[in-house]
Amino acid sequence: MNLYKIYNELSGYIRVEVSSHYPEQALNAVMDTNIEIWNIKKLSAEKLSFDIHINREKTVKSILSQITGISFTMAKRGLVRLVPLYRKRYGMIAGLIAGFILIYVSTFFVWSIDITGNVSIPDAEIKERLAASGFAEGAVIDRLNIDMVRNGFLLQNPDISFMSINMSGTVANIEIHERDMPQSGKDTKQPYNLVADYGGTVVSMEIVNGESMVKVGDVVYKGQLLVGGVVDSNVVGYRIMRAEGKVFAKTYREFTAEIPFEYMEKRYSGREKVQKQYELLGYSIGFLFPSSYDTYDVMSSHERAQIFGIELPFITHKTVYAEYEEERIILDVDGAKRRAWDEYYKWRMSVLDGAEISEERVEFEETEESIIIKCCVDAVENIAVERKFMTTKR
Amino acid sequence: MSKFSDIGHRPYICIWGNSYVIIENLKKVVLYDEEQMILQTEFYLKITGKNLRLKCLNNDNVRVDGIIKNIEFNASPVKGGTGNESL
Repeated sequence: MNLYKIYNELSGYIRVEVSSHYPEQALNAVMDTNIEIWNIKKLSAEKLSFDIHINREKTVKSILSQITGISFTMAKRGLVRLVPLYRKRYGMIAGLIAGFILIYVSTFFVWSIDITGNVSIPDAEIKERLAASGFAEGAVIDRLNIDMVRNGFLLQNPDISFMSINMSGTVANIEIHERDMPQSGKDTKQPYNLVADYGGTVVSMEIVNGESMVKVGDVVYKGQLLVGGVVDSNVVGYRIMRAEGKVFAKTYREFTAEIPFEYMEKRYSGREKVQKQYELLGYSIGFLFPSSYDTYDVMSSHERAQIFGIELPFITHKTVYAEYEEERIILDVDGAKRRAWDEYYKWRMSVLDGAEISEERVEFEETEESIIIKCCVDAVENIAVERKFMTTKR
Repeated sequence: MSKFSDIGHRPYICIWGNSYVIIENLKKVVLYDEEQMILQTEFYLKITGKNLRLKCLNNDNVRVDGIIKNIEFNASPVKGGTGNESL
């Protein structure tokens, strides 16, 4: 019944309103000529309306004219009623036609690519790799050889073990399985030494593999061999191995930072310029012009158009130019000291993370323009780092 | 032509619960009202109910929608309607 209604709306119909002391006679008269009528409504005791097909207008008009004591009106309904109203609006008609053509033509292209099954490789990277294999948004569907694309993709990407491409209309549903790569654990077959990363006095050693080259109490300098990866024995000769272990040493480190009382800081003015660039089926529309601001940050985002949850091949790229100004900040002595402490803690976290700090001495030196922080830290830390060494076969 | 035309001019009536009635071999609509409808076939058919309306109508078929309470068969138009039944 709904299709029937759509058909009537598209093809057009006539609504007849009949006024008479006995309006049912109009129904009977029309019915006798085998004309189908629908949507029959009794508007009042003497008024009735019904719908007929647009082609039956003249026939019904002549039938109703022959009945005495009856008055009637006929009005066109449906899409056909709109045609005379808009027939001279050529721009709108051209736009509609162009729109329909565009929609029709766009069905020949890949609108969007949906990727599922990826865990560690992001969608954008997979799309880039697919594009290298000739499969991208905007590609002509009929020209695509799905099997060739899939096989080529799998050959070029050894980290992907399985791939399926299913075209659902204009949307490509791609399922991939990532290959389980072997765990990148320590390669015990490669020869490594342990050397000192920083100078200090050795206080303890925890050696798992290799031969110790220093003993507790020794003073070592940066780069000195601590544990060797070559172990010699009287029974089997020398063996090459990966030296493993920790060498704890008492170290002495210094940190110095200068905090000026005046410095420039970035402050956003709140003024922004937005530029939009559109992408249809992989082709960009519109240009990006550089901002007229002297100092600005650029933020980019993109959004895919949707209608009723269906993704369209139309992406809006939004670029926001946010203006900022360099603001002069003036600090007092306490403020500068707070910043200096912040800098020191940042350094300590990055350099001495995990170390046992036995003593730290902090001094401030004040000049006319800045404050200087000087820190001396005594700590016990693991100074051993691995260094690979080369071997030659005789 | 109705598929039941071989049964002559006798009306073929299909009642779907109390929601609609399809009548074939219809001759005339005698009275059309939201609560009462009189249709002429070989005899007169009086349908009473609520929100009654003719859904579609052609040469000899009609469909009456609404909440149907009663269907009566009479040899002549039933009195007591709008007074137009005698027309």
